Formats: sequence, structure tokens, C-alpha cells
Amino acid sequence: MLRNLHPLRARRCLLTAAVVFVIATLVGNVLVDRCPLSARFPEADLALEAWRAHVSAPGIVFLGSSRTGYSASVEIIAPKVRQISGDATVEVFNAAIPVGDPLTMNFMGARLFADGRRSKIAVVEITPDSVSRRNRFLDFAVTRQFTFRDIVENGGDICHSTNKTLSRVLSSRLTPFYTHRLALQAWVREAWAGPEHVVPVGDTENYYFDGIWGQSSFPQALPGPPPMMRIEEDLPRVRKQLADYEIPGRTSAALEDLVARCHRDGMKIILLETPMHSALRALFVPSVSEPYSQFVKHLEAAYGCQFVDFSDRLSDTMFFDGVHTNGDGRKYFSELFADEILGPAWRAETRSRHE
Amino acid sequence: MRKGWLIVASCIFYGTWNPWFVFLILFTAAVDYAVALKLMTTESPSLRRALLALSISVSLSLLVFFKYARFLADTTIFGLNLFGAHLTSPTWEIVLPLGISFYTFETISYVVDVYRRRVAAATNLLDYALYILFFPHLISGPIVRPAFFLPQTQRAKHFDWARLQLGAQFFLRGLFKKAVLADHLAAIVDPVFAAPATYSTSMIWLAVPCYAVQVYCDFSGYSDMAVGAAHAFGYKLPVNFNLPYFSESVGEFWRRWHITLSTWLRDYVYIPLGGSRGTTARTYGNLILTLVICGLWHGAAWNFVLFGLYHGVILSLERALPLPAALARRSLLPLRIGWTFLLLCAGLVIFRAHALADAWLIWRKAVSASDGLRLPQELIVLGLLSMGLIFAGHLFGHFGDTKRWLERIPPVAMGVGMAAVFLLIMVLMPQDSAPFTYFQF
Repeated sequence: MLRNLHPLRARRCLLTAAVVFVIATLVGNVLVDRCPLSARFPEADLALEAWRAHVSAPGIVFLGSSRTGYSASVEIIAPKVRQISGDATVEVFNAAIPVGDPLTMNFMGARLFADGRRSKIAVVEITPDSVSRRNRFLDFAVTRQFTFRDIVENGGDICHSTNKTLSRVLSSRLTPFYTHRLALQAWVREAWAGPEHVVPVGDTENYYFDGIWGQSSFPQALPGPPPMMRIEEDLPRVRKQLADYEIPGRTSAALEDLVARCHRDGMKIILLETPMHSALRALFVPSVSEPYSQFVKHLEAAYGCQFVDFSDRLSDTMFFDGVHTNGDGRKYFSELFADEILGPAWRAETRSRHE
Repeated sequence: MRKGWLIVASCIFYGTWNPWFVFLILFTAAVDYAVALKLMTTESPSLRRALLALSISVSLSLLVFFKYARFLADTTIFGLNLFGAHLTSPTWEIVLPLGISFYTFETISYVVDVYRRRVAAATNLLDYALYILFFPHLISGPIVRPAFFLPQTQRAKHFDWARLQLGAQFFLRGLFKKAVLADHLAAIVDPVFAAPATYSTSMIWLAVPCYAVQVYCDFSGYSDMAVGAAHAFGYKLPVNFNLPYFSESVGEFWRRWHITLSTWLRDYVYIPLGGSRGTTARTYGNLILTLVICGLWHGAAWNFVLFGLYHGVILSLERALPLPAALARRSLLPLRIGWTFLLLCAGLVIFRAHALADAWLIWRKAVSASDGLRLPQELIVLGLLSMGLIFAGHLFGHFGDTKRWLERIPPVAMGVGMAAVFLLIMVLMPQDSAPFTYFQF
């Protein structure tokens, strides 16, 4: 067969293939930036769909990651707030997203409030590791929501984060059809079989996310390794993230951008440091906690936020792993947070409106 | 220099899995290289036999230790327990070096061929090292013979666009078979073979042929990629598959499936055993023994022994009972192909089942209509499409002149087609890619 192939024909064939591949890659990049949210970032699409199902904007909205998603049960918090405030109409919405770092929270905030509907209170998740410039969740943002422009703008932090992030950027942009194949397959499947929302699989491993973190009774244990083993697996990654800790970067800027947006829109902002296992809290040594406190103080001063620290309010038995609460933890936190913070805050909010 | 780089790259390629086992290959290769050189200069028949025995013993003992020690220990304990001993199975596990079955056969064929004076021993260590270590065939074949590969190491290599195109075509074909067809078919095959009792008869009839297609796509896909990658570096590897599911008999199947293994077994096991030169009974015995060894080569478990025995018995029956003229008519070709495929599928059930009881259960369910779970419609369509595609490919390969057809395509159209196929593969790849089936052998 080799004898039958002419070198000149072969060269033309291979060069054509290379050119077509490069053009297709460029087109792929455009498609990735413009494809519907349901294909590329189905978690966000599910949450936004649930948000849009409300006739008017829920009074209280949670913005955060799966830490908030697991901890804050709307089914427990909403009745409690109604009971404490005496306002039977208040609604609570949990817009937390799996692997929802501040960049994702800001992305969600922009879309939630895009139609002009505003909540009265925004509970925004904040933790020392999540605002670190070295953002280990950037690789998710890169494939889920970043446009080419975002990548250019976040280039410095991408290089500063993990090697995996950089490789995800490269694979996402050099082989977009491969990296985003599951989204494309889902898109085609949906077009063929009709719209059918399936709990997103793939990047995030969250068993209870259905768009609104609706389950009120979480189990006491996750399938797979026990909590301590999960924590020990995670500790080196968090340690790496906190090494040479510095805050100024695109991640903290995104959080500030979200807070500023909420502030501009007249919302009361509660910065919530979510519950954490003691093994993880031990990593927040002074070189981490001091710049973090300064950043929090800056947000409080600039945007009138209320900072509440729930990081050490739950016992270590109330976690699936270092940061995700189990059924007991979810119930305990939701009641505590509604009793101490949200109930009084909504009551004050209602009073100020009446006055 | 180029050979040196290829050897280093091959060692790195292998070492990314487990660097220590690179030394194992180097040790085996060094022993055989030295033995072969000594064989070239030795005339004494007894010394030559001793050298051959030494080399084969070293290669086979390593293979037996890494691959069969656990199986032999378990079988021995099982046997002793039958006579009243109360021994428990050992808890230790031995890590199986990737590709050991492949490179052991290559080193054996090298020393045997030198012993038989069919090839001259390689005097250049780099040539021999490249023959064993060349990464495309190192871990999963094809099993390369020294007479096929060593002369290529002595030819000057130049960059060749034509060779690159050919390599790219082979590689893309292999990648499509493996990454698209085989990996998607796993979604049909795995659940049914994991719990055959829970699935309906129709799902068994879907999963078993799908497994036949999956294992073909997996292994022939790898072989195609190996051939393609080798072409890119200026080397040719032997063809390993030739439309195996269009065989009219199981005997023909073995001449079309994993050709480099079946010809190796023919030349280094079956013929030395006496082949068909002895009595009829001896010939059948040789056939069955060769096929049992073939089964054992695939894995150290009783199901592989039975798989070999099954094929050995069928081959003997085919030899003993030639097809009547009425059934050998050309018009009945599809029937013969279908019957052979059915026999192969029945054999693959033994090959794939987790336990012999499962194989028996699958056979029973296949012949007695029973209800049970059904796979999602989407998977059923996928399975049928994949089988249809492979069948169409066989049909085209059998009746069409693929080479001429490919030549007629203008180069620009061919380039566009190749890029399109590559993009399609990228889009269609499933989330989780299963490791190559033949890596475990």
C-alpha cells in the first residue's frame, strides 16, 4: 500500500488535514464560548431555571459553593425565618453551585440579578482558602464558564494556580471538541431525545445537587471512604493552596465584585464563613488568617457587610469530609443560622421597610 | 542515534507505568542477546541445545512467576484440600508486568530462530534492543518476529510523507475502534456480564455479540494504532487482524484473529509438538494442547484454559468432520459465517464471564426465554449501530478493494476526511476510557 502513496499527494493530504484541524479548533473555541449554559455548565442552568420559577425574587439568597449547598437547607431555614420574623411570605433560595468558587459565585450573581429582580438579603460564602490567589478550583471555571477573554484576563492567576489548571486551559482551547465532548454529547442527546434534565455528572461529585439542594434529610455518610480518609486526602491540596498565601488576585476581586453588585442593588450582605472540620481549620495559621481578616474587614467597611463566622460552630462528627456537613450537621447549622442570623436579619429588614 | 532515541523513548514510555519493570525487560533481553551471540559461534549441538534451554528457561520462568505463580499456588492448594488438607489461599498478589506475554514470546522466537539458523544473531545491541523495546508493539503486540523486524533496523530512515499518511490512517482507524466503539460498548457489556441473572434473554443476545465486537475493536484498534505509530517512525509491523468475523470456520478465524499469536503458536508450539505429521489422534492432541496454551496465554485462570479447550475441540471437530458439499456452496456463505460467529460468541462467554457459573448461566439464559432487566433504549441502539458498523466494515473489506478506493480519493478530500474523523473521535469519546483489554495479558 505504501508504494501506491505518492509523497506529494501524501503531503498535500496531511497539510490539508492539519489546516482543517486548526480551523475546526478555532471554530470550536467560538462554539465553546457561545454554546448554551445547559450544555457547558448544566449546574448553573439548573439553578437559574429554579430561580426563574419563582414569581418574584426570593427574599434571601445564598451564594456559595457546595459547602453552602450542603450546610444550608432551605426547607429548614425558610420556616424558621418565617416563624422568627413573623413574615409568612419570605422565601429562601440556595443558589450555591458545586465547586462554586468566588469566580463562579460572581458569575451566578450576575445572571441571577440580570432581570432586575433582587433579593433583600444575600448570604455570600467566604473562607480563607476560597479567596486565596492560588485557586485550585480554577480548572473547573476554565471548562465550565470561562470565555477566551476570561482566560486572557485570568492568565496571571491561572499560571499562579495549579499545573492542572494550566493543562485544562490548554486542553480546553487546543482540543475543545475533546474537552467539552460530554457537553456536546448532552446537547445532541437533548436535541434528539427532548429536554430532560439530568443531575449533572462529570466534573463535580455532588450527590445531592438538583438545582436547589432540595433534600432536607441528608444521610449520615457518603458512599466511599470514611470522613477522616477524605480529609487526609484533601489536606495536602488545601495546604498547597495556602502556601505563600496571598489574597489580591482575580478570585478575591470576583468576590468583591459580587459584594459590590449586591451593595449597589441595595441588598443586605451577610458574609458567611461556612462550618469546617477542625483538621482544616488548623491550617489557617497567622500567615493565612491575618491577611484574610484584613480582607474581610475591608469588605465590611466598604460595603457594609455583616461577617459571621460559623467555621467552628459544628462538632467534627457533623461532616462528610473537611467541609461538607452530613445530615446532622445540615440540620444543626440550618437551625442555628436561622435562629441567630437570618431570622433577626429578616425581622430587621421587614421593620425597616415598614418604617 | 535515531535508534538510541527510540529505545530511550520506549523505556520512558514503559517506565511511566512502572520504572522497575524496565529492568526486567532489559534483563531478559540481555540474556537472550548474549545467548544468541554465543549460539552463532558455537557448533557443538549439545552446547547449542543447552544454550537454547537456558534462554527459554529464563524467559519462561519469569513469565510463569509473574503471571502464573498465583494461579499455580491456588490450584495446588485446591488439589491438596480435596485430599483433606486444610490450606488457605495465599493473600499475596504479584504485579503483572505490562506486555510480559508479548515480549517473552518475541525473545523466545528470536533465540529459537537463531538456534535454527533462520536468522543471524543481531551483532548490534541497539538493533536487538529496538526489536524488543520498540514502544508501539511493546505492551500489547503485534508479536513481531526477528526476521520481520531486524532487517528494518539496518535500513536508513528518511522522513517520508507517504509513510506518515499511511501511519495516520492506521492510527485514526485504530483510535476510532478503541475510543469510540469499544469504550462505548463497555456500557452494554459490563453490566450484563456483571449480573447476568438479572437481565432478560434479549439483553444477553445483545451483550454477547457486543462483547465480540468490543474485544475485536479494542485489540485490533490497539494493533492498528501500533502499526500506525510504527509507520510514523519508519518501521513496519505485521498485520494482526484480517476481518476475523467473516470467517467460515473457527479454523479460519484463527488465521484471521491475532495472526501474530496464532502463527507464533503454530511455529513454536504446534509444529515442534509434531503438528499433523503423526497419527490422527496425536494431531488432535497437538491441536487441543496448542489451543489450551493459547487460552492460558490470555490469562492465568481456569476460564481461559476452558476457552482454549473449547477452541481446540472445535478445531479438531472441524478437521475430523469436513463440511458436506451441500453446505459448502457459495450461496450458503452467510450461513457459515453466521454459524461460526455464533460458535465464537459462545466461546467468548467463557472468556469474559467472571466465573464459570456465570458462563453457564449466560448460555442457559440465551436458550431459554426469560424476563429481566432491559438496558436503556439508547444503549440498545448504540450496540446495534456499532455491530452494524463493524459488519459493514467487514463486508466492505471482503468484497471491496479498499486500497484502490482510498487511492482514488483526491488528497485534499482525504485530508478533510482525516481531520473530520479525528474531530468526530474526539467528540464521541466517552467520559471514562477503559484500559486496553489485552494490556492484562
